[in-house]
Amino acid sequence: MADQLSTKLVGRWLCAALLTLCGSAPVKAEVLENGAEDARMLVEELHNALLAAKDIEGFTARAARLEPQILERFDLPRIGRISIGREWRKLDDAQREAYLQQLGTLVVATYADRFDTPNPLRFVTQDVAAVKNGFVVKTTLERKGEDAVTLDYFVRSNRIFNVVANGVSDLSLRRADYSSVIKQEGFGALLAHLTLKIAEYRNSPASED
Amino acid sequence: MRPVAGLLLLLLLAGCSALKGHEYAVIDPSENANRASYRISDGVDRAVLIPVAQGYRSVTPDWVEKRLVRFFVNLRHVPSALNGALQGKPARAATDLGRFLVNSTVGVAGLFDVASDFGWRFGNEDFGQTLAVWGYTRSRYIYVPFLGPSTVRDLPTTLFRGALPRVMLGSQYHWGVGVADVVSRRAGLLDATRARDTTALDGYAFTRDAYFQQRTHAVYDGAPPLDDLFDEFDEFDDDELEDLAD
Repeated sequence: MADQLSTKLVGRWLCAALLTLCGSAPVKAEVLENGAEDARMLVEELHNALLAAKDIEGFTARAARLEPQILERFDLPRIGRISIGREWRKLDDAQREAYLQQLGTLVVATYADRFDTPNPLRFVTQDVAAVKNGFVVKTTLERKGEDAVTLDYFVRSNRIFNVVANGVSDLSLRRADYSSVIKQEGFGALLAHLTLKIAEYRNSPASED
Repeated sequence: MRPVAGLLLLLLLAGCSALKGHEYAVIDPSENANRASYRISDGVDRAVLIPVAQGYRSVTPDWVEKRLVRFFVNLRHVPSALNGALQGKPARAATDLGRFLVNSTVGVAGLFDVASDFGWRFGNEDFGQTLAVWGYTRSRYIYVPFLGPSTVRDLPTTLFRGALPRVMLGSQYHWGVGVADVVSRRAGLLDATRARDTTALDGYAFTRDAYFQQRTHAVYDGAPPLDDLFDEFDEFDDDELEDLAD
């Protein structure tokens, strides 16, 4: 009786294993395909938002238009954590929240500052590459009379966490920059620097309303 | 020739000494000295070069500015072809040489980039990239006073860059060409300077990291392994993110 039961169990297990093996490859391919499509759409939606905002007069109005679009598509907790490395673990919840709030405002302000042009420009999606833990959406930014800029978006869990422009990674630069400030002046100074940068964007002559 | 060979050997040995960190990682053991060099150079840059470059840009029509840039880029094609060959890229070397011949003749001394219309892309190789392809990947950072970011490996390229018009033009060289080269190059970097100034909290760290990334990008001809770039941030603990989301 026990032998029959164990034979049945082994048989079921083998059937289940075979089904899993047979089914896993197509399922995995489908998941990959869907993930790649989601990543491509995520980036193209961001591009459309940037194109729609670039003609808006005034920094404040542009930033207000871009804010929800950017905060929805960028993985700010991941960006924030990687940017300050081990310092993250030393922060309490209130500090983390204050830091991520400032970081989000700064990212929005940077885009509102950069995408302030009536000149025509266009984004072209070149490819979506699957990598170990996510996707890289490869695009180009094309402007008349200028060399195209390659923009590679690193996407994980369907959120952008890094943008590489002509080979220079935004996240790597941020990490080098923030780590250096923390090392020399401490976390409090980093927050003060971020606040100052946001004010500079708001008050720069180019951003006057 | 011997001193040059000796210098190259010294550079190679310096590069092969035990340096910690992954390939192309930022290595800056002389940070204090480099920061001092950066501060002095940045001061001179802001006081002299940036105003001159801005003035040049404001009075020079875009068309003329572009022709001048093309002229100096054309001079870089011969060393680029040579380095392409040294890196075992014969097609790239041949393309650079072809571009140089076409642009120097049909393109009127390189003022017009006719070769790009044939789909011939500039390889933009240099000796620093050649050394990297030969295995000298990890190299110490140096901020060369008034010349900018470099590494021990890239130092010959950094120094040679300024002397290139004199080498290529020979007896036809005039000091005015050298001045035009410096001003034109500085004007070409004005947007990058603005990006640094508006974005960076620590201009030195920002410049250094950007330099290393650009060089890695160049060594891989614009296509570094994506998995490596992704892995760079893999130390991150997903659980912490989930805690945060809650």
